[in-house]
Amino acid sequence: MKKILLLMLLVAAVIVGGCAGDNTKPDIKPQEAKQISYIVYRPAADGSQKLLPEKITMPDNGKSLPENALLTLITKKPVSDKMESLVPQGTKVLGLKVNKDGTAYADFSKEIVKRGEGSYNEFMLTGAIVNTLTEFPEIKRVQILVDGKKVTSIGGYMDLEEPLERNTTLLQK
Amino acid sequence: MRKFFVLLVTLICIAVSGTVNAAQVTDVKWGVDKYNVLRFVVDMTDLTAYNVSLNGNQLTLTISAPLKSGVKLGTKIKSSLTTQMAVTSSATQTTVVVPLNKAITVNDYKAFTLRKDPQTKRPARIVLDVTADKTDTPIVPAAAASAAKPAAKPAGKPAAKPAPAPVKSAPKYRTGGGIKDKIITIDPGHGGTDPGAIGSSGTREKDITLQISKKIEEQLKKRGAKVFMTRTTDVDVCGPRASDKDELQARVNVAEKHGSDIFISVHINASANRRLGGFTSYYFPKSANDQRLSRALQKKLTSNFGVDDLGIREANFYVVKRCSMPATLLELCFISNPKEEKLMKGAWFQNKAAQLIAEAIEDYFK
Repeated sequence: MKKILLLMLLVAAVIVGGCAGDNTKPDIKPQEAKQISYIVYRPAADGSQKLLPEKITMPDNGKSLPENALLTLITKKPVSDKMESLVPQGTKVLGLKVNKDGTAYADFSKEIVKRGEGSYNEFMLTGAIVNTLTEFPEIKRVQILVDGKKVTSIGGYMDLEEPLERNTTLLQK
Repeated sequence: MRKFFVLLVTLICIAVSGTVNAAQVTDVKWGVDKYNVLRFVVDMTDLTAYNVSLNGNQLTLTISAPLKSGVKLGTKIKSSLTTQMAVTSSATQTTVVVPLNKAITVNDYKAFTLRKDPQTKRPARIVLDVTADKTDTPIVPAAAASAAKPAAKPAGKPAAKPAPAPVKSAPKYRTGGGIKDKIITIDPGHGGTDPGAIGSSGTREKDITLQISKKIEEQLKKRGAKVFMTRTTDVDVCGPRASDKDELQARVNVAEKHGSDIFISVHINASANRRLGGFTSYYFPKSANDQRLSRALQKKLTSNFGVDDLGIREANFYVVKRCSMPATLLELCFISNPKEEKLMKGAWFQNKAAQLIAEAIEDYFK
């Protein structure tokens, strides 16, 4: 009886151990990977028309810093409740291309186009996108695209036909 | 037949060059007038956006158009403020950098645009005046302004030879001298197929903007201004379901057609965050006057209502960027905030807001 119990325990240990071994494998990798950090600008939730910096530190995932920053801004909720997202639900980043002349082409899915929202959302969202990307020295200006194409506007107010430059009036105290 | 063919080819060439060739800079001139104002004039095939920035002692004019290939520009300047300028061009923009021999402030320069003038055959122009060394009285009695090809004479004591100043024409818009007879275009935001933002109790932005705009019109007329409205009823200005660009440009066109001195677009803000409230004045820094206009409006509105002051902000909004005269897009409160929605529907708020806006415009033209 004791022997059977021992055997069963042994078998269980092997199974568990085996499983645990498989599970820990992907966990080990990121711990060894180097950490990257970057800043994402989020609209202040109090409506003061300011962008607040959110510092993100994460394991290196092979993507460039601007790509990670844009993905965080568009697909992740802010960490602090002092900030808000303003990104329309379902919006996806379709691509980010940075030209040598410093122009970044940020391509979004059509969900980013939304009407009846007032200028505040469009102004702060485009400001967050542009200021987040121009935080990187290689990016001087940002051309916003929707489904790969230039648009006049995503909320009906902004002139997005030309690349936007950093708006420092959103960062001042 | 051959003649017809040549004509056809010529027409096609004109059509192609008209559509394919975006605006180009064709010349950058400078001159010093009798009040010792240093003036830069950028000749262009069409007006585009531009920006003037001051960084220490360096003044930079950036124009969103390339320099026409083959155009050679001088770099020497004879002025009490500087001895040179540097013009560089990329595929999309032209940059004029002027190193100054002393520190100046944002109040020491102003820029404005002049539209193409078919009568005088003058091209579209961007003008930048540096007034840091401006004198109150003319240095020489005779008009000695120079611009196109300033003779090699010391700028401090301009030549006595009277010469017609090629760029003597003042900006097409006026920025001072009182509100009387000033031409003002008021743009009630949205309309027709575009309701704008909608409040929780169903209030439509397009209705409130029209109601308030009509009251502003009345207040401005009382003060002697000439007022034009982009719409006076519940309609799309361009047409139902026009593209964003066409609809927004149609509003700018009203202001341009009447040679307006200023353009005010009236909007009500909205946000998914229903707690947000307050006033904002948005401008695009085409010249220092844009900010000055926004500041005048914002100051009046926020100091007379118990509503949050969200400040003045530089914004790439189509209507304020694309019109040639100083402009402000006003966002009066948030329709998404139930308290402010109720406030804005009332006659008390609308009357008071209209009166304050008119007073602010009066201050701007003082």
